[in-house]
Amino acid sequence: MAYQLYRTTTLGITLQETLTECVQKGEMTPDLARTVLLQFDKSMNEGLKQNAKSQLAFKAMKLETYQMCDDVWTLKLNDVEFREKEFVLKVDKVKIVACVAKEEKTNTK
Amino acid sequence: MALCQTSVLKVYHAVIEDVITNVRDAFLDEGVDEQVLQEMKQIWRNKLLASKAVELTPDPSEGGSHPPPIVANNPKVSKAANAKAKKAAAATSQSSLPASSMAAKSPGAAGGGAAGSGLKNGQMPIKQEVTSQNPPPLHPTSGGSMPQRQQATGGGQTPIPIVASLDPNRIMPVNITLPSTAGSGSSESRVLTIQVPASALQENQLTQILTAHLISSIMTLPTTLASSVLQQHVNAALTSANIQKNMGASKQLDGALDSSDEDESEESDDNIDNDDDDDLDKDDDDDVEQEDAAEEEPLNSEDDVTDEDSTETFDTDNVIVCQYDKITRSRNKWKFYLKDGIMNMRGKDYVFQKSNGDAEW
Repeated sequence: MAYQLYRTTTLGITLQETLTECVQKGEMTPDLARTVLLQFDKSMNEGLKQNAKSQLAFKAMKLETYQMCDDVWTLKLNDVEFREKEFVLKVDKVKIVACVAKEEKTNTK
Repeated sequence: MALCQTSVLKVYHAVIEDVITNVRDAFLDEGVDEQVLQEMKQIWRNKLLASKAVELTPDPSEGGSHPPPIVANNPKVSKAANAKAKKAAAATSQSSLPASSMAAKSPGAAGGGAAGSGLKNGQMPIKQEVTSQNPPPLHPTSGGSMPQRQQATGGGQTPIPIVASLDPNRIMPVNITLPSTAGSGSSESRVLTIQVPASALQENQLTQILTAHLISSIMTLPTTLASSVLQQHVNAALTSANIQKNMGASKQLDGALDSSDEDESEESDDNIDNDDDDDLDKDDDDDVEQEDAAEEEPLNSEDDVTDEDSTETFDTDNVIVCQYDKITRSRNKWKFYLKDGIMNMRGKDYVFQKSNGDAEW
């Protein structure tokens, strides 16, 4: 099963809001909404793998906290700078949630 | 624009299309109409645009599952796109927009028709929408239904009968109303909500804790940040006040009140000894200490908060959700090898295929 990790992204949250509205209006069943979310997980994992192109480097002044449980890292960094060629982005605090990368076979679904 | 920004829309569109295509069967199996599916897709896209997390680029080859050659029909398209933006605004207006002029007058049909014209045409009107949604509206709390409300700028208050009868340990939400600040862009006074034990209200401790100095220093902060600063300050002040009170009040901390932890009771025994010896002095010192702590806290919290960032990160936690190939550590040097990630920084989304980083712990 694909990671449900991406449900907290903008796309994931907007989808969940949309589904909640549709269920409340009675246009779809909660079961169907669940199915959509599961499909979202699959599509998101796949979509990122295929369409994301950027390679980003970052450097943090400080690793504030780190936590690892069930192969999931939760990290908090301070004073981070992201770079990609000429693009630079600096932020004070960043939280990273990372799941272990899965080895996928070529055919999905 | 960096690749991590420009590819966001592309990834999102691909995902949306993929989801819709794959759930279509499930919808038909359940007997749900295709119309509902399309509506769901539309609402999803509108919410995405309304979230402002995605950068819309002027690049014609960008995004848009079907970019029709509309360059020639500018007036018609921009009007349709305007209608679409209005519809998007209407969708969000229920929850947030104070500007009633943009709300609800959306010609629904035109909005739907413009949907297929691709996002890039919506760039201008959506930018207008962005500026009108900014400043985020703050709804003042209505009515005096909360008996615990206290004015931060006011002086001492008498304990309210309802509050006095509460269990002192019960945590109550307290609304603190701040007058509007010049630079906040909001003409309404702001209300911050913090959680305090009822004992603090019963004993009027809040007026001592919420000094004018503290209030003026958080005045410039955005509401959520101000709330959390205030909350932390209150918690710290109450904790130190409680410790002082407990030490003064109960000399015996063993027997009936003994905690099972041995270390803890040893500590309290030591404290009791000190208390017996220097009771009065300690009380005085603690009072002064508490005031100092009250004054130091706001100074320290000013150090932590930077103005430019606080206005932009108003309600965002900069988060990266991704997968990791490897995370290694050597002494206190950490290295991260990440991939397939989505970042939300200061409200904006970025996407990466791979990301490597370093940090020191």
